[in-house]
Amino acid sequence: MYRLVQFFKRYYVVFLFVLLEAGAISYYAHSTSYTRATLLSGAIRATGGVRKGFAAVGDYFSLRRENRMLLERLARLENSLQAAAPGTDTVPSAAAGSPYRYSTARVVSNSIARQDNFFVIDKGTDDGIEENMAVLSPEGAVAGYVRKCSKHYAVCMSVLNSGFSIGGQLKGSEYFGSVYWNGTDPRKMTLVDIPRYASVTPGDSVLSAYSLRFPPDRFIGTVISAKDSPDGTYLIIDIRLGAEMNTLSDVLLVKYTHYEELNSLAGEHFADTQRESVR
Amino acid sequence: MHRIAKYGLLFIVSVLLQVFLFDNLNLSPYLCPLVYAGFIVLLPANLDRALLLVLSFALGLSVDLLSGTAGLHTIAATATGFLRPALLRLTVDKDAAREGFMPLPLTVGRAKWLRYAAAVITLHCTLYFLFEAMSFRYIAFTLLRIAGSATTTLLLVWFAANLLPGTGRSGTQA
Repeated sequence: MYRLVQFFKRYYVVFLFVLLEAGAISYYAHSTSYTRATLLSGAIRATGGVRKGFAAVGDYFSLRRENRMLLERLARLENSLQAAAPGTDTVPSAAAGSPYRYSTARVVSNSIARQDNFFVIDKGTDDGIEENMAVLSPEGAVAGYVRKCSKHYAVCMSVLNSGFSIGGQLKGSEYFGSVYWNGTDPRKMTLVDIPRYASVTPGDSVLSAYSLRFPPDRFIGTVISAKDSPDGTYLIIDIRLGAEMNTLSDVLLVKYTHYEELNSLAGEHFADTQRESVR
Repeated sequence: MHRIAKYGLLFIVSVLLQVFLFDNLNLSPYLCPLVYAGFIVLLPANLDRALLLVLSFALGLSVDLLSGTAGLHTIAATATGFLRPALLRLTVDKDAAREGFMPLPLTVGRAKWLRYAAAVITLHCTLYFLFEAMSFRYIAFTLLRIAGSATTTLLLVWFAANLLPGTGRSGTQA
């Protein structure tokens, strides 16, 4: 008995270490992107005000760039409006029948340096934000989607997250595959499952397609290079990300009004959900 | 009492700096300083091992809770706290390691302190980024991240350690 006590006295630090470390590792290993978003939304509730202050200071530095971008986007929309309904000032009624609803928000906190990046926006359930809304950058490029909401904030999964995936299509071709981030360069993503015989040239645009959350034909990025997959059945295409994730400060939110219905019927068949379930 | 207040303040400042400043810098994936590791570096040399372990755990947990990472900082900080006494004995000579000073460049000697701090910080960064990657697929990328982040962390901690009051003679009493 005495020797047992001596033994414990001698090694209790080691036991304590094993206990604490095992607890931390098992919590980390069992965490999914959802638990991480939940944790982050709890942290934001405590620190949101301070983060908002920091974000507001940072915003001044990107005002010019963003202003220019908004004007360009306005011009493009003006053009497409003219093309759709020439000679009228009223918005065509086709928009009223669209299942997509748009709103805007401001980024409060963002990260690009981790392997699982999330960003936080300053609107929550009180402002009509819901989980699984798509998030686009001011340029209109795919940036992420809402993962978890609190009353005044929402945690969004960034495209730079190992759990993120979206259906992508080469502009002007029939071929589509899925786009994901391999966890290294925050300016690049990877498009896979495009058949080997498809013709791909650097500079081609990759657009969203057959996505559960995102509207079709949203810009994802441009092709940098393509190489064969190890088994030689499809291409692995490096693309330059369209959204500038490191300077993201304002975002466009898109709610797909049929999301619940489509997800419960066929959610598991979409490229968006396949990586999610693996983790 | 004075010492507890001093370390309490250091704890809070290092956590806040990490969460509100360095986590938001987003300089590059190769430069993510984990400055709060400086707290583990600066804990008293003769501190009880169990207390050192618990403080490191609490440090990692605080950063995790405030930045919403699920246990990553805790894993790295706990292991670093556990191995720190061994690293201190290896890098700084045994007599010095037994004394109750705050390990600072002026009390230990510049070269020895840098060796000691580099060992602790490199261990911390290695654990953090390996557990974050959770695979050896992009090992070259992960190693570069470890090297870049550990170097920036060391520079920042070195800078902070030189600013801290209580260096020199008074440091040995604190």
